[in-house]
Amino acid sequence: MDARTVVEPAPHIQVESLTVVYEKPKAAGTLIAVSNVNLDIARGTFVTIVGPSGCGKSSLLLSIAGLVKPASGCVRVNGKPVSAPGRDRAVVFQDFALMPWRTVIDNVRFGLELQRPRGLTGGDLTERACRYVELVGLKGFEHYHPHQLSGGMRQRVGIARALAVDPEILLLDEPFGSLDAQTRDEMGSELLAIWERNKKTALFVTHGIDEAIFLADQIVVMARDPGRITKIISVDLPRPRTVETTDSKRFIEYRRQIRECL
Amino acid sequence: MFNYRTLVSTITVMAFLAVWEFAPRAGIVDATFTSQPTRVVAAGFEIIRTAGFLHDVSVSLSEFALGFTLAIAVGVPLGLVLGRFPVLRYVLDPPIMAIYATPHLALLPIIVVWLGIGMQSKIAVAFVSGVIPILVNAMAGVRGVDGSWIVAARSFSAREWDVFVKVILPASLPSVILGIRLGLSRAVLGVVVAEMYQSQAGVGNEIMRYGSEFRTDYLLFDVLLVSLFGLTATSAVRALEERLWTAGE
Repeated sequence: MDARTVVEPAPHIQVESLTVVYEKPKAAGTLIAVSNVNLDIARGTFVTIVGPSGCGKSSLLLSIAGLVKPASGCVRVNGKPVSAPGRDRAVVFQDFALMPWRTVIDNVRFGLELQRPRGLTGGDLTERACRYVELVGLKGFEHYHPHQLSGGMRQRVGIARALAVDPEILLLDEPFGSLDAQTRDEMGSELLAIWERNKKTALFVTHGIDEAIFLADQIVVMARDPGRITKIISVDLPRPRTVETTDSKRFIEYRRQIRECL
Repeated sequence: MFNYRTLVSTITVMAFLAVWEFAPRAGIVDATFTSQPTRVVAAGFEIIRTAGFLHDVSVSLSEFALGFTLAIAVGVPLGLVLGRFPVLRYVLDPPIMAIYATPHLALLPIIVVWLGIGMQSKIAVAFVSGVIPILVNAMAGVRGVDGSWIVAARSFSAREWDVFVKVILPASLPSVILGIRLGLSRAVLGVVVAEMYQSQAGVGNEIMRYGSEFRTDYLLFDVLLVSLFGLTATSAVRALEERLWTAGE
């Protein structure tokens, strides 16, 4: 370590007075989805954003992804302003957004094909896609098409596709929102197991309070009209977390705290 | 294999052929007007041996092949581009819809005035007939592409060209093939009718000639030939379509 410059680590993601505005259809005015939001996210943390529908949590995530242009304010990743999607970030979508004409392996390969990491041949990409298919527990299903898979399996493909490009930041937009409760819990545990291997910075949007607590180092609670942050809660629960975690006293206390804000 | 449905269908066809064959023999109808299956088959053997037959078939096939290939070459790319860029669509939508609504065979006289009674006018008719369904379906295919696929591609820093090649094109392929299938039967119709209207050769020309000579057997053989061709080509495209759907759904 260089003794001359001991600096405090800068936040991995910085959101600075971010405002996101949508035009309502048929010129019925505008909708303020996110209003003047400030947020710092440290490298390697798992942050969940929880709040009711329409509180702007997805808009916030998509702004960080570079898929939504802010009306004012800005998002910085590693200190650099975000203006478009980049190789340092990958998104997992609520509706999976898998290509129905591609097999599991080819869907996982999709992001790799678009980004083409330097020096990798087509064969390398397939090999890498194969590793990530295995990582999310879909070995043996490489040549299935999405319609032949259950919802949970489809989102595993979505997660593998995002991880395969090896981003620094994983952005998950209500990824388990369309799954049944039991599958959702299983997927949460597995996502944590994968995350704990390399501790990428993760931002996870949900409207499930328990899910938000179970996964997070930090919970961002948002409210609507206009979309804003009402509270940031640091979660002090030991990892690795298990089903028992959700029965602990502290877990129940966090749940009460969040309910109060909502 | 030989299930109830094929059995019923086969019996229906056999019954029709039987009535067609025996009604003239029983004196119920006049075979000069209705012909008979056996006569049509016999006429077929004679036509195949006539000097002009191969020439007529090759003229019709060439007209169709050229016009239809042109229709695909123009209709598919234009439809994809129009589907992708709304501004172009606003510009070209009125003329395209006008042509779509026009019975294209009503344009025959003017096409003949422009291009003469040779092959050029038939190629043009095949093109005009085929290109519209191809274009309209390719356009609809692009517009029906799920927006979330495009957003997913963008999230991986896809450029506009990547989005087109990796999302728009494969996603709209089934629609494109459907358009080709619909355009195909219209192009076949266009060629035959154009030949019947004004021409020097071709199967449509033969049909018209046999008609004016009251040679019903000969005429029906040629008609059968055209429908057989249309059926085969359409089935081939449909088979391709079904393979795409089973792979992509």
